[in-house]
Amino acid sequence: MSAVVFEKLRKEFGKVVAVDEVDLSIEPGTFVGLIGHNGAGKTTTLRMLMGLLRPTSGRVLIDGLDVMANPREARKRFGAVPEEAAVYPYLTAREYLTFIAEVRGGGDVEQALALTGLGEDADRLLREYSQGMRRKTALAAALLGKPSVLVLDESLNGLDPPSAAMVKATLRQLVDQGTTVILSTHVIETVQAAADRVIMLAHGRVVADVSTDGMAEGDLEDMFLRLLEETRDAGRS
Amino acid sequence: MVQPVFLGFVGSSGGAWADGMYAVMLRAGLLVIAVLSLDVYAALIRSEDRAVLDLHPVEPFEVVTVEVLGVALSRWWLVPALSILLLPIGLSGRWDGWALAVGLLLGSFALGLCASAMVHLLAIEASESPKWEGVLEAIRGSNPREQAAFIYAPGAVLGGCALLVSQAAYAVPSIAAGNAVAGVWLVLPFIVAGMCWSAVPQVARNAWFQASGVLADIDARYAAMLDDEEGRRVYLDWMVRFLPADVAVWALKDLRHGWRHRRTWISGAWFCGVAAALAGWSGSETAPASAVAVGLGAVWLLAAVGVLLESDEPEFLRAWLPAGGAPKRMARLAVLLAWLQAVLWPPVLVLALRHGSSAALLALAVVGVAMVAAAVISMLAASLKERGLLLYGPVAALSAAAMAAQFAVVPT
Repeated sequence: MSAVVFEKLRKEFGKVVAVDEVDLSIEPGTFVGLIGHNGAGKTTTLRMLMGLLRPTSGRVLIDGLDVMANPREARKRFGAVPEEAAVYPYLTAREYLTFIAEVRGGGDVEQALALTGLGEDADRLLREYSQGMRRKTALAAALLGKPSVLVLDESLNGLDPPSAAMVKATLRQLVDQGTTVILSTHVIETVQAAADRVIMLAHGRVVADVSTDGMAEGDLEDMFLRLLEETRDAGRS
Repeated sequence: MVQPVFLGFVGSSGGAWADGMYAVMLRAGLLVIAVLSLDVYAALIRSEDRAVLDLHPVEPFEVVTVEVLGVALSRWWLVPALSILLLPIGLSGRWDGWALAVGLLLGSFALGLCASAMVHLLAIEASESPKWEGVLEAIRGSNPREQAAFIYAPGAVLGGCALLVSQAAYAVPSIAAGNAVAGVWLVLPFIVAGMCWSAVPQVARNAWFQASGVLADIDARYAAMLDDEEGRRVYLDWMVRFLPADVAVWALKDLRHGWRHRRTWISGAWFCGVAAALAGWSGSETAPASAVAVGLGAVWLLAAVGVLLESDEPEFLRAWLPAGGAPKRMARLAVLLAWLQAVLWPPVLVLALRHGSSAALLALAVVGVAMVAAAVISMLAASLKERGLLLYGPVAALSAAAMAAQFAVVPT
């Protein structure tokens, strides 16, 4: 069974079509990079995957479960780090993660802290954290309960290079253990370095779905720019 | 202040006492329910907890229970405070009436919490339901259709509960007169509260997660509305055409800021205006004084929004924007006076209809003067930024009490 399936997913905001008939199937244990220009529909697609936005039509399945029809069961199967991670500012990271572990039905808080490099700061209040540290806290929370799918929306933005490298290594390790990771970003180098499969969105549509195997440095960026130009030209004509 | 305005019947007997008890208990019960309904909406639908929790597999009923308990704890003082205000009933020798009144307040508190929880959760389902599409489309005004369900939910709670509270309020003097059977009406709010709460687990499971998607759509539609020029229009923005250019810039900023971030206060002015009008909608000779008292309290309370607008501004914006000076203060004053019109005119019109022009003119003068005074003090207190409320709060409370004692009195 596919870990994640997008079935003819479409989202309209008034007259604007943000996501247009996205049809995808993602196998377990795959690291998927979702790339696209600003406004391409990455965040909208991922918000529908996280059950935070209702599709206008179509549906998203996680481990065969419709996210909108089975919100709680679906959330047991995925962990998510949205672009703007919300946390309780008056808890320490350790307290917050202990609470989330209880909500998620278990999970090793110390391991999550170690994997995200938050160990030394775990007893500081989250209100004192930088945006990058909050994002790492949200990632640690998403890891609790060992979800089979991990969704990260621009989650490496704002991380310093050592932290970004550590998070990428952690994600790679999870994928090797069978977790499916979907990472959206507009930084192509990140995707090329970490992902097995790259899905490119432009104007709400999937314009490329490729494997990174054997892809030379720069190939992905060249392809992205070429496809972007083509879709823009197609839109004009 | 309270006794002459709302408890003028204390000391009387027979029908006058029963009518007075009914009137005051109905209003007190509905006040409790209205406050709780708005708070439960904020807690269940727009709570900050949602952003943290809706990514995780929480048990929705547990979340709802905690949120509703949070509202109950934050508003625990409502029943004791109103019970203290009603003490003159007991002190007049009618402790039985006072005890029954407290019972009604407790029933209203339980009903307000439980019925609000159920109705607000049902509103989430109604907002998406094809069955409700036609109704919501008809009443949505310029709001997204889904938002209409949330806008009218507190009114639905109040309307539904009003029937029960009204019967319970009738029952209070009836029981005191020895009709024990009427006690059923006093117990009924507790029973209905229990019934509403028993429906909450199922409704919460269906609706709590669903609300995140509905809210995202609503916010996206508001954002889309803001993208075009028409969408930038806010309540009363036409008034800036009548202001000098240097004042109009600041007035438009306040109008937009208030409408987008302090809408409850601004819409609340209409709610308070209607409440004042209802207080005056009676043939009783105490009605004009009640209307003026409600109007005065509302004006002094709502003018605090002038201070809140200032304290909302982040420090960097204060540094970045030009100082504003006199035009900014004039704009704040004009905007506050415009918003407060909603408190003034409903009771004035009702008093003109029910009690003649002299009662209406008195209300116009007293509430009008209060509006100007409250707006000026709010504008001055705003210069203290976050500390402004520390000045405005006590001044407003004292001024409201003094004006009510002076003007909101029953003619003898």
